[in-house]
Order: sequence, then structure tokens, then C-alpha cells
Amino acid sequence: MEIFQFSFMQHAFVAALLLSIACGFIGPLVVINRQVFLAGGMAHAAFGGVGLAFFFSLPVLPTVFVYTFFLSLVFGLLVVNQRELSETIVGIIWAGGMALGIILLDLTPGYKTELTSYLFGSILTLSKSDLSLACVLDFLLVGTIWWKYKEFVTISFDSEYAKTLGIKVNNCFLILIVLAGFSVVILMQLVGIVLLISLLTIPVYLAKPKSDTLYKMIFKSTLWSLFFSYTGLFLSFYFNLNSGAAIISVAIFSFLLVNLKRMLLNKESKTVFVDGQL
Amino acid sequence: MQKIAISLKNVSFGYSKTRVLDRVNLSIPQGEFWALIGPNGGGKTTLLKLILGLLKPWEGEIKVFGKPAKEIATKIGYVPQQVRKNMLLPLTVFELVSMGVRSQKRGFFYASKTKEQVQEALEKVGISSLASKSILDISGGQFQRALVARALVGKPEILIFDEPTANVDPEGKVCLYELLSSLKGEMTVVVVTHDLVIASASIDGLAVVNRQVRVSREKELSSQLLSLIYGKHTHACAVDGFIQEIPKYFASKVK
Repeated sequence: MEIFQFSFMQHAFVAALLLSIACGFIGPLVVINRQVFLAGGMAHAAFGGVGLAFFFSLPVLPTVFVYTFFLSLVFGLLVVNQRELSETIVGIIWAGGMALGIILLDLTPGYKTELTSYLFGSILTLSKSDLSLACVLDFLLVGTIWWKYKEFVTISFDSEYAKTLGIKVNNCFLILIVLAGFSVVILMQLVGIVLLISLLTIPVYLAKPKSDTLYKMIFKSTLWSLFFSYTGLFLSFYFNLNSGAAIISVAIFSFLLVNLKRMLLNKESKTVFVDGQL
Repeated sequence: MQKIAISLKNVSFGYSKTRVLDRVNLSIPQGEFWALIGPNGGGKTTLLKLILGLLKPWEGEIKVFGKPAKEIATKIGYVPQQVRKNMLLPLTVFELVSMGVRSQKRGFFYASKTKEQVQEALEKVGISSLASKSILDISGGQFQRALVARALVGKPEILIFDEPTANVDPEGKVCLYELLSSLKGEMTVVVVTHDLVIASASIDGLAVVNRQVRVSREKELSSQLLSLIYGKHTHACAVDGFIQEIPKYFASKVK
């Protein structure tokens, strides 16, 4: 196939696999712990890292990774110690990170052609070293969730009970926030900072109805993410579309289609019930 | 001399500046079944959280088997009050109960020993057939039983229940108290409850909690004691008036 002859497309497909695994593993934990707003805040605040990379002429992805790692630690410590103010803290860091990025980019001389690729994703900017970093982060993310799976299930269900078992609940939440930061770095290049939040939520929404355990939800979310990103990449290549927008459009379209199907099935079952009554 | 399982000496605690418990002294011997009763806001749940090590006392000393609760968390089984189901978390009854198993295998799957322990605990509370069901598909009473199984599965030496029968039907309440009573001797059981009549049949001791704690070994709950615990009812009941009015109403109809 023509699409696989280009090395940038080969990179894009590897990146899509990595991001699907990242979304599939961290998305369900973000959603069930009601941390979607926090993940959104983290994604937008990561723009500060892009600004830093441009200002100091550093490689973008490693810089964003270091920046996001420390940011997520600060974020996490503030949130776990002041739960009742977590939304306010997220709001501050969300806007603060964006403002920092914009100011640093304003102060950077020259025209920043690559900028939109970090905001909305691009298949052209992926290098081998970026993929290697994404691969390491994916490995860390999957390994940590596998290792702490049962603790995560317990704290997600009842954090107070988890404390009585001796589980360090605040540390677990901190780890979760750092992992969400890792996923931001992995997703940023292909989907973009602005759009990545939908890939953390839509696969989970679609995977939820037939999942009776968290690991099944993780597995199904990964498959949905893989479907969205690969279909999106094909569309992006053949119709010359922005990769992030194409992937998210496929996700949104699937979301609408599945909901429509559910609504029709619901209507049908109600009709059967009425007929039965008659 | 009987060994003391839980001991509180001059314990005080409060939230911000409000003192909820004031110089509380309590000793619960090993293997006994105790009920903590008292009015809402009297400090029962706070007392349990202090025993569990979830809260730090302002002053005083709390020991469980002579040590701070945090050091021997594995010896305590706990059923919290009003556990809300997280509707977003997919969870089976088996997984819920397995949370109580200590030192589990890492990863997504469960060791066969854990499976056996969970099955045994589910059988004890009479819901072994529900193991693979989602917690969203079971009734409030079945959910409560699953929480009891979760507390039992770790084979604790002390079982602490905070209103365990909140969503259980009357028959289920009796069954649950029979189960708790059967554990007496094997482990120390402490229950916060308002089901005084059912609980009183099984208990060894009663601790009345209302800012301070008064202890009684009396099993009989007299109306005088209940009035002292919950306060005297002074207003005339509408239903009382209604019942007195009925004969008058019928008499007037006959005329």
C-alpha cells in the first residue's frame, strides 16, 4: 500500500499504536476517578513546555516531557492536599501554562511553523527519537498500571476504605496524575494538546456498557483508540487532513453512531414491551 | 485476665474547633461483641475512625491489641457507613470482596488462593452465586452483604461495622446479626447501630456515645435508658391523637 511507503507514515502508525495503548490504559482511570477536567488542564498547561522548547531552542518532546513531569508532580501535590479546591487549582494551572507558552513563543524570534502541529497534531513532525521516548513512556505507564492495578481499583471505589487497608491513597492519586502527564506527552504530537482530551474519554464511554471489570474496560478502550487513530491516519493521508482533527472526528462520529444505535435499540425494546402489554 | 482488644484512654477529638469526643475511655475485651449506640452527631463514626487510625486524636491514647491501629491494619476488618457505588467503575462482586484480601498477586488477575478465600467469604454471607455479577446489578441488601464479606475475607481479629444494616430488609438484619453473633469469640466485633432491639439479643457490652462514652453490660434496653440516650419525646404524636379520636368518631356515627 502506498501509505506505508513513506517513513513519516510508518512513524505515524507506530505512534498511533503507542497512543492507543496510553489512552486505553490511562483513560478509564481518569474517567472513573472523575479527573477528566484535571487531565484537560494538564494537557493545556503542557503548552508551557512547548513555549520553553521554542524559546531555548530545545527538542520539543523531551522538553515537554520534563516540564510535564514536574508540572504533574506540583499539580498532584496541590490537588491531593486540597481536594476541595482541586477544580480551582486545575483552572489556574490550565490558564497559567497556556499563558507561559504564549509569552515564551512571543519572545522567540522568527516564524513558528511547527506550532500548530503541537496544538492540533501532525504526522509530519514525528522523529525516531520522539517515538523512542513515547515507547519508554508507554512502557512505564502500562507497567505501573499493571503493577498497581488492584490499589487503583480499591482507591477508585472507596478511598477511605483503602486507607484502612494501609494503601497510601495520596501517593496512588499522585502516580495517577503523573501517568496522565505521560499520556499527554505521548498523545501531543499525533493528536495535539487541544484535542487529546477526547481520546482519553470517548473510548472509555464506548467501552463502558459491556465491561464488568476495569481491565476489560482498559482492553476495549485500547481497541477503540486503535480503531480511531488508524482510521484517522488513513483519512489524514488520503484527504490531506490534519491528523489530530481526523482522528478525533472518527472518534466523535463513532460516538454519535453508537449512541444512535443505543437509542434505536432502546426504542425497539420499549415498543416490544407495549406490544406485549396489548 | 481477659485480653483487651481495643482501648481508648482520655481520648478527645473534634473537627476544626468543635469538640466531638471529650475525654473518652473505653476498653473492649477480645472476642466480645459490642454495640455503639447514640444519637446522630454524637460521635460514633468519629470514634470508629479514631480506632481505625483514619483520624488522629487531639489528645489521649488509642491502642488496638496494645499497638496503634495503623501498625496492625491487617488485623482489622471494616465495613464503612453508606458506601456509594461509583457508577463509572465496572466492578464485580468478586472484585469488591477481593479488596479485603491482603498481599495480593500483582496485575489484572487473581491467584487461585484469593479466589477460594473470596468464595468462602461469599458463602458465609449467603451470596456465593453473585460472585460474577456487577455491583450495579445487585440490590442494596446484597451489596451490604458483599461489604460484610469483604471485611471477613482477610480473616481479621477485629471486625468493625458502621451501621451495617442500613439497606437490609428486616429478615436480612436478623440474619446479619446472627452471623455477627456467631463470630463472637472467634473475633472481636464492634457495631455502630440503631437496630437496638435486634442487636441487644447478641451483644456482650453496650457503649453509649454522645460526646462522652458510657459503658453498660446490661443487655436489656429499657425505655428509660433509650430516653436517656436519644432524649425524651415531649411533643404529642399526631398518630396518638388520631387513635384517641377514633372511638369518639365511631360513637358519633352510631348516634
